[in-house]
Amino acid sequence: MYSVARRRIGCMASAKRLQSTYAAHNPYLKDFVYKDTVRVKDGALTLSKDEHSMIDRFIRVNQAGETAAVSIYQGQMAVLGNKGDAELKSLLEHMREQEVVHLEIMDKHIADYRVRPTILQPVAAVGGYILGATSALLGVKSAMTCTEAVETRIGMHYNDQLRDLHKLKYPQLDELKQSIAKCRDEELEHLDAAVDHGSQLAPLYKLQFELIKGGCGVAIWLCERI
Amino acid sequence: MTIRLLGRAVATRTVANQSIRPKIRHLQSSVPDSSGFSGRDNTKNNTNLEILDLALTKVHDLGWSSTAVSRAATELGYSSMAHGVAPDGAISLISHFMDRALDETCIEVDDQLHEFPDTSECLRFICTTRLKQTLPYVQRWPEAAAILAQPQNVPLAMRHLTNLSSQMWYLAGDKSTRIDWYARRSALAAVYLSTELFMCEDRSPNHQDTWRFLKQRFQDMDKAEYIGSKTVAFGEQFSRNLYNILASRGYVSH
Repeated sequence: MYSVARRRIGCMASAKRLQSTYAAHNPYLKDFVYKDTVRVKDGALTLSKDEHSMIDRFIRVNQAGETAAVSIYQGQMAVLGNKGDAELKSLLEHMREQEVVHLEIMDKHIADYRVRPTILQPVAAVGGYILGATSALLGVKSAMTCTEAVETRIGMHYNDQLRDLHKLKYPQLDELKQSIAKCRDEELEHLDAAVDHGSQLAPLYKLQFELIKGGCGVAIWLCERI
Repeated sequence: MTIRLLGRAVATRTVANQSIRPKIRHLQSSVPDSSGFSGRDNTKNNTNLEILDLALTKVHDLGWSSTAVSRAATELGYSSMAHGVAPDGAISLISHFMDRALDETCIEVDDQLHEFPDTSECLRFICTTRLKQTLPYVQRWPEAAAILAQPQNVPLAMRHLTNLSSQMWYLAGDKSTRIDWYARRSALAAVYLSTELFMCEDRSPNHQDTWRFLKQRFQDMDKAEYIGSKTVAFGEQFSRNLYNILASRGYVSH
């Protein structure tokens, strides 16, 4: 007769070694248990199905969002970078570099938590480039409006995520919470920079703002699920 | 002789107990089940696991059916109505088998992963280990494959296959975060599925034809990935050259 007890003890030993092989670079994830491997009860983080699917969704949509952010700034730079305004170019370059760092953080989380990346990730990259280029073609102020709208929506989005994540009191999730908080803070800095550069003076400001903010909302909804 | 006497004694005691009080156990507060993935219901507990594990040993004689589960339940001293632990009969038993096989693969493979420098070799080893889990049931596996192919079971079968494929890539050290995540998993799923079906019909000594088949499929997969990456690189170089030519002619600003 199959001895379940023996198997559980065997599982604990090897599951711990399994985790250390793949989470060795992340001290906070040494005890994380992947949902598809043997679940270990003692001394390890065990997430319920709902909690794990929530974290999956968050990381998936964050990666797609950061991809889109990088390509929005690339699109804007492609159109506005050659206008001869060095200050604007350096501002766009600075914001793009920060977004690249965010994307690297989210990629690392995808590998750590074994999250399925969204299949819309290339779509996000291309769509972001088109959005950035189009808004830049309408003028510098419209480009700033686009940035302001996207960053407002992203700020709301990250705050919602943090609110839900803080309900989970596991210390192993601290790194994830800190990185999302850092991304949120820098996105809000971009928001302020965009407002300072005249985003609210753009023509048809309200229309552009609400349109882009709504589009971001739809994209977030899709990337969470697909 | 002694064992047979003991066996008969156990059977008698079981029957006697059954007549005194029913042995239908209520589900305890759900213990996280040993494999985190389960198609329908995530609250298997120890009792269910015992029954289903014993039922797996009966598959060879009774096939993938609720008869096997009932027989296993009866032998463990529970009421034969306890086949309700596998509410859909065959498909629950098959699903349980697949969860178990994946768990066993993870455990077995864990020690030896670092010995393979090459991801493809490592992946082939993991795939081989998983296929060896099906070997004891290989005569009855076509039955299981047919049940899994029924329309009402296809979503569950797909979930198991994608989960298996994903898990095997993770064990081999895959850290992809872009669209190639999907390409790799679908390729491996195709390789695994074709090899498993080949294995059902394989009569060669030691299943060496199956392992050769698997090796060739892996070579095909590697070749496909190589061609794919070369095509993408070619495309990138082509567009970069085109941009540079246009820029040098003044058609695009640089």
